[in-house]
Amino acid sequence: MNKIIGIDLGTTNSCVAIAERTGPRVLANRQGHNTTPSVIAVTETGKRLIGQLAKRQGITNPKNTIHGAKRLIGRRWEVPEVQRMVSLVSFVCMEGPHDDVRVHLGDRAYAIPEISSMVLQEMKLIAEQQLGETISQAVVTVPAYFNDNQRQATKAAGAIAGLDVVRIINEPTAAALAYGYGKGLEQRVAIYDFGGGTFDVSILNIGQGVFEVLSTAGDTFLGGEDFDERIIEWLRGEFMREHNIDLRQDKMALQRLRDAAEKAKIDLSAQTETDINLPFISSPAKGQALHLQRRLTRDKLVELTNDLIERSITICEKAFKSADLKLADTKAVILVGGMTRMPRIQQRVQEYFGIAPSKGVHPDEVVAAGAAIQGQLLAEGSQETLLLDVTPHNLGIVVAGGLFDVLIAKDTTIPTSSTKVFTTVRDNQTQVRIMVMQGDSAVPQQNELLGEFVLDQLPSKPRGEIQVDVTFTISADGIVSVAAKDVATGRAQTIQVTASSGLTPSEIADMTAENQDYVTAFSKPTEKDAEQVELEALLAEIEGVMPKVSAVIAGTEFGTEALKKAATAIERAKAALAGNQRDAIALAKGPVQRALSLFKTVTTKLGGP
Amino acid sequence: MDDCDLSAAERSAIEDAEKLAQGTHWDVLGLVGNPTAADVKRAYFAVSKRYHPDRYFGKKLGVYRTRLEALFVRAKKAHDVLVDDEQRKQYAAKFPAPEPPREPTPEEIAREKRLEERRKQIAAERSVKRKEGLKSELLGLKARKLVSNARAALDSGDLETARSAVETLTAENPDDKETLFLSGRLLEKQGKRALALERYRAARELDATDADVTKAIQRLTGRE
Repeated sequence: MNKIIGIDLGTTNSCVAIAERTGPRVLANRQGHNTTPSVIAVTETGKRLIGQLAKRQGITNPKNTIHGAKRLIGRRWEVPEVQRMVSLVSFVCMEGPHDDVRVHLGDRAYAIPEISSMVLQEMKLIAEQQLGETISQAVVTVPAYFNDNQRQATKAAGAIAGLDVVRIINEPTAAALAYGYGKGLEQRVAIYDFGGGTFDVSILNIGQGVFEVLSTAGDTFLGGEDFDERIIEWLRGEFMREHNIDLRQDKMALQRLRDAAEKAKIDLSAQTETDINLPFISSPAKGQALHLQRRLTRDKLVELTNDLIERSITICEKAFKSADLKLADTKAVILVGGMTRMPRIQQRVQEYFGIAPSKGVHPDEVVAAGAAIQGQLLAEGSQETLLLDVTPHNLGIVVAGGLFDVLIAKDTTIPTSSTKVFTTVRDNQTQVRIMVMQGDSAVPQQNELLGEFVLDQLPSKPRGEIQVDVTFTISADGIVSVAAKDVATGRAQTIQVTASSGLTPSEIADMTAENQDYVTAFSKPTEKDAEQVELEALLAEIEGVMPKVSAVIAGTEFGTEALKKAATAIERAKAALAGNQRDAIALAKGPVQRALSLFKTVTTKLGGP
Repeated sequence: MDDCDLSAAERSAIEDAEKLAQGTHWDVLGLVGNPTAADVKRAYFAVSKRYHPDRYFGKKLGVYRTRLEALFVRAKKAHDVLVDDEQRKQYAAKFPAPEPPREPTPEEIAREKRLEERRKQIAAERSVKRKEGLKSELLGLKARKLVSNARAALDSGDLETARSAVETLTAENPDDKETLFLSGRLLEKQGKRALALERYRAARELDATDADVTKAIQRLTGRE
């Protein structure tokens, strides 16, 4: 049986583990460390460095030292989070040909999965050295809140590294598995995972060897690096005030600030204050040298970063609310990720959950250990233990009017599938474009486009008469596939969503414009007629009483207001009927009905003419 | 079906589950009576472990992959309805949970007890018979060995070994043609011709067709 390793591919550090008969074992790198910095560098002589060596020379070689690649993987160049990160880092980022992010390293540009593949390859090497055999399969973890594009890009990174990523699992789920595996627990647990780049919270039920994720929430741009950034910004501000020099303009100074900030943050987990000493940080003129010296206290750090901590708590609230779970049912809280060493975070978590966080899991290693356990369970075809994870975002298609129609809701246990019937929006529309999107916004442009395809050769028919079945499937290994079928002819199109299609948001915006080959939620024509007929009847009635009513109530303040409202409602209803939009017709009915009943009351009370 | 590594037993288990999946939520999770939410959860976990495709990770599943996933989705649906008070009430109004199996009456218990005792008895008898059969088989093996030893000893003239073998054979299998014949040969070698003839004749009584016995009698009597 082939061994399957578990890799925690982190924003700042990565970790690799293997499950053995005695339990999971974290594999140490050549320097004897259980975690390896996720840093890649190319030296002036063209030598590639990975891990501790790359990190150490970052100060003198900031332009060719890449860190935090995980924050860019599977993301579009235009998104604000990427733009913000690009403006902060010392290495050079540029837009790739597929609207992705490329980074410059040495003499060429690399796609982000290529950078991540170098880290994965290093983890593979560590495992091979420790185990003395070739490793070809791995379970790799990602933040629970990663979307499909980010997962696929991570999988691609594995392939480039020569690793068959047999499964991508969520970091908090892996942590829960490592925490509860083999203990025979029957418990509800929350995993609070505050890493270098991302924050995730997951709530799980553990029982009979089944680990069932109930809810998950997170922010892929909230992590330890944001804390560092706050310290950097504080130091920069202080220095600016004192010397009127912006240290951000100096790549080398920025890299030194970054290292000092991270070190200070770590120090403050153990002590209440720390000194930051950066001699010769700047030389404004020849022979002149400026030093940076500051004392940072634990309280000051909390002041600088408290909103970040509060954001994590808000996300926890969201996780409970979205799945309708009670906080009091949670019997254990497990802290994962380096940031959970911060005393203020531990204190705040305890305050929020009302229970002390569980000790006994190693926040930096528990995720890799869990991934290794999952690898072993899969390799063995375990019949005792099972992970039931959920899809973290809504999944659906874009429908007429630029709306996002959700077929699989977030927090649905996978594997799952869902079918919905859609119809054409124009007469003689012979094709429909299915745009598959993932995200939690009702506005398609704010979500992630996973892929698109066209179902064509539909027979020429009036709008609303064609029926198209759209089926979404998420398999046990998280692969999304979408099928569209013309119900009448049986003609079908299927795509397996594999990677970002590389469309820009402006292109997506164009596509949501009118008169595109969209579909709309299908409803039986009879139903539609009924709604239409009803609204038309209401309109006739209200227009009939309008002259009488206006004669009675016009001139009063209340009357003018009511008449204005009624006029708007009538106008809207007419527009809806003209546009033959089912949803709009349904929406327009209420206001007209209310106006009519009000008018009726008025006419009966006042007698009328 | 080459694209599928599942055994015939595994396939038929899946097909059985698919039949269950046609039934009510209660059938799918194997629930009866008035299960608690925790019971529903337990049943769902048990069924999940049975049909989640991860159980067959690394195997080629072919068409069974989507079928397993459909079974899992079906169990999940049953769980979601039955674990929720409101949804369960509505569902049970249309599809009530099956009654739990009835408690047996004292007569049924007594009858079952009698049957159980009879079954035990039969089993015990069978076991005794089996043991006896085994014993006789072992004896036969031993006897055959003694016969061949005695023959070899007689042929080579080792009368002492022959005597001991014949004695054992006579003790354990006195009414056997081979025992009587070998005993006759020993007596003949020892010069006790009258006794030997007696044994040969006894052997002939048991098997008149044996050529060796007939020859020996002719040798001693000159005729017959």
